[in-house]
Amino acid sequence: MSVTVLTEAERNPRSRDTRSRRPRRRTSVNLLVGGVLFGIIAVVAILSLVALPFEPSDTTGGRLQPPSPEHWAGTDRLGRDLFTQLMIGARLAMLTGVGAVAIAAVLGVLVGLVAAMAGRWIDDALSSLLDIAIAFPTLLLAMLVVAWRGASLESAILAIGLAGSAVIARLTRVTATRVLAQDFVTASRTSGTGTLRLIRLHVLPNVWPTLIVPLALQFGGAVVAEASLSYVGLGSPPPNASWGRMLQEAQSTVLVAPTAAILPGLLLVATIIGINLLADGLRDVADPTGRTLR
Amino acid sequence: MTHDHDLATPVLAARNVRFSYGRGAEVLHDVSLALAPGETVGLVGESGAGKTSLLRLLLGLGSPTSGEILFEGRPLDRRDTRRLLAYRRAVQPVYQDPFSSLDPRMRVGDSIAEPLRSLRLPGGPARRAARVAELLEAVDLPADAGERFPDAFSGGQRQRIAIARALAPEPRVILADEPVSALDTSVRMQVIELFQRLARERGIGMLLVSHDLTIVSALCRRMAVLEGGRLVEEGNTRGVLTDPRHPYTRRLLASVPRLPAL
Repeated sequence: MSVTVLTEAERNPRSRDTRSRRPRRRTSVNLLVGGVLFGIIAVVAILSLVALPFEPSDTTGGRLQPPSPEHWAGTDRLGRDLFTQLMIGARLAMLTGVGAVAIAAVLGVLVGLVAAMAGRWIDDALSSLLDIAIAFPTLLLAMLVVAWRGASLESAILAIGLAGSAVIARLTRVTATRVLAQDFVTASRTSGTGTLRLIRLHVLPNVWPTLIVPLALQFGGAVVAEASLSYVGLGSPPPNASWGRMLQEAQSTVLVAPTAAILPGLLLVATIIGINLLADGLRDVADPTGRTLR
Repeated sequence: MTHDHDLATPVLAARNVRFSYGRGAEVLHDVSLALAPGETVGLVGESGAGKTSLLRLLLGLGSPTSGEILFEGRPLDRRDTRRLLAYRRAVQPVYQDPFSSLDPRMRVGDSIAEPLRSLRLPGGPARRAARVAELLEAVDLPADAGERFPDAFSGGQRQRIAIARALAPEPRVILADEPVSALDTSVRMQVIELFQRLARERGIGMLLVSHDLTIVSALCRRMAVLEGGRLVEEGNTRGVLTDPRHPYTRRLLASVPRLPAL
């Protein structure tokens, strides 16, 4: 019996065509939707610095009011404007994301590069340390940091950033090791390029593309982690309105005033979906022709 | 004659070099090899014979366990930065895999200009750009190639770019590790011709590491055979190929594939 094996192209003559076209299309949609979602939150966060509809501590709105022309998102059980709190929440979320990702990127890349470039002893020691750090639950680490520094937004950002840096460090180490083994690195050395210049010219540009997506995802993770910490009361203390604490406060009145619980939740989800789509789109922009080392 | 001494002093030499990786077995046993100015030498041997290890030592990427690497007749001292710079300018490598030897995220022109900057050769950005254009022309690539990234080029073109980079500091010697073995047969000849031209027109010396005797015979006046970390035969390429002394050289010769007689 003879078996005819059809190639993908023979089975579906147009498949090659669609395959080559689809990624580009999906990319732009991802980037667009992600960009818009994330952009809205970012704009709201920035606006909150400039102007707020009400003072955060203004309790004159009446308790647990439903959305109205005056109070777009209603009021909470103390009579504060919810829209104002959501805007402040957006600012805290962005601050957490940016801060935690910055800490994770700087510390992670630094440790990862040292591990990749130093001798075996240091590499082994750092790698074991990273394994422990990665195995350690983020929230537990955050609680330790809070216990050490007290509950504040800075503590939360520091803890989340530290936890994220371990993952980034390991990724940097692996990628940098692969880059360092390439002939163009040796060529750079034999033409007298010093270590720091070598890192700047060849190592970082080749490591960076592999870090963009994980860092963007960590941004989303950081926002959720901060919300979780605030939910259990380990985030930024009142009167700072974090989405996590708004959720926690709305919990007891969810049947009476559902918007107070639904809106922060929706914003959290929108932020995370937005950043994830953005991450996906960014990867293709950062690496349009597959220039990344494989 | 006064010039005799200069001509007789090898640009680069290995003297009684022994080498082992870490505490591993010795991969080079007492190897001595000299490269006179403008001389083309082929270093042949099977995989694992120590060719690449010897090349790495000559490139200053490692230190011999014992013995010395001599540059212009004197041992290299890593603390002597001035001399190290002169050595780096004079000795440039070309690698085997043209896909790994160029940074995929660096414009070709910047890759070629990198040695000019790192080796502190005189000249500002304008002069460097002119030099890059000149180098691209020397390896038969269009002047606008410098603006593009390596992924726009084929393997043979990339190897030309790598050669242009090696030529940038006007080296006296090029150390090439299997420079054409990763290329298609048709492209191979072009790159070999390029090497021939460079040796002829610019008087650049070459140490060509290969396991391909055809290429060595086309390019090198002298050849050395490495087997198991020992230099077993050395001499005029034609002489070695027509009258191999060492049994290993004979075996190597016998293994050269030939077209069936038509």
